[in-house]
Amino acid sequence: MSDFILYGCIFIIQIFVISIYYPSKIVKRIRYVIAHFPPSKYPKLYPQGTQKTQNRVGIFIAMNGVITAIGLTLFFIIFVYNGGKFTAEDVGSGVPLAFAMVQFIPFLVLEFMSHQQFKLMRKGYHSTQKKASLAPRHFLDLVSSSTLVIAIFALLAYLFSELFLPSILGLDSQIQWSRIVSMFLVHTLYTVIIYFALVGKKMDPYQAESDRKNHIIFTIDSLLVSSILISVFFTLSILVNLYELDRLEFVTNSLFMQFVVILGIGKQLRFIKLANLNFDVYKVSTEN
Amino acid sequence: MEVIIDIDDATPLFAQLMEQIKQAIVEGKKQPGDPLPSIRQLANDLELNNKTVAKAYRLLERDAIIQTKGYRGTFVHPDAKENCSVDLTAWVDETLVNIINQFKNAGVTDSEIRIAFSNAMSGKS
Repeated sequence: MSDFILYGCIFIIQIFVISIYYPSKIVKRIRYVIAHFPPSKYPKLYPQGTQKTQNRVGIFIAMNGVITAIGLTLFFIIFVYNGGKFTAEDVGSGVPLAFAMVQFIPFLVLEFMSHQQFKLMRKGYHSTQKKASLAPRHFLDLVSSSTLVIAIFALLAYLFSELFLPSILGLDSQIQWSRIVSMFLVHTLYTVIIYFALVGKKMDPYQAESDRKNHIIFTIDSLLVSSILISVFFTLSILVNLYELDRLEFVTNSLFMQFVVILGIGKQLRFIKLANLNFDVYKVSTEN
Repeated sequence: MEVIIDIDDATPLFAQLMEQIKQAIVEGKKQPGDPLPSIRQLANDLELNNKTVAKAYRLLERDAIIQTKGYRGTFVHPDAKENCSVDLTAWVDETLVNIINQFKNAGVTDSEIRIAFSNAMSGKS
């Protein structure tokens, strides 16, 4: 019974963290920018005016609202109004993972809309003058060495757990090649993202070089943290299976998804402070 | 240190880039041994073709302003500051004018000079 209550609490916290708390922080940030950097003074920031931006915020809020309602309904059906049908064993350990995938949809939509905005900003950039820094951007100069070392260590720990730990402990377990392939594909994707962040074209044509550098540092850091989380999560999954601690799987799955958001989106909101960004680049100029 | 390229300027883009890098070195904003961005990074940042930046780098390396050290990247040449004051184009122009004047003083006609120059350029002489 206590496991059942624990699962219910963890699930409610997941709904709150991913669909209410961080979305509200994002909305507050967007509204702050609109209020303090209006289109009358910073027209380059709003290629389509503020109405489109407000519409995007509205869509983001609505999507999170619907998903929160779905989550609460699920919580009610599984944990409250179950008529004694469900026990902890009946609650699928995949529920937090599957629901988190749905919770991430508004963030993906918002990211897509941001890309559309940048595309319009690039289209509206008519200056004949192109600027670039003569400082090279090297991966090792921009990455935190401690985070990199931890990420490498976590990855090696996972590979050791997957390939050797069961035989060392004398336990019968098969190597999950799908997990290894997933790790390889994810890290290949991260490598490509980091490469294009370092040498690729500017998304925001007006962005100041210092802001761009900070953004690249944050991108690298967040991908390394994500790598650490995935390695730890997969290692924990292996240990849970080896020691038949299936009752912990619901909790670890939910906590993993929450940490992805806290250490990803949450860190971005803390690291990239609006007060430190150069918004003067979006002011009216005679250049373009 | 920023470089600024004007795509509407009559000066070729690679020449503008070369001039800006030399200026950075002469003004001390880039010191001998300082690293420079890769061709791809600079081309993407300036929204130029890779070949344009590659040409600028190749000519700067020819003039011993920069040096490429394989996978380690591109760096400002140790003698870059001195070499920046050497204008290769001006030297070629001055030398050619001197040689042509010598030919004319010796009685060689304009068409003979042009034919000889053309043969020399194509390696036929």
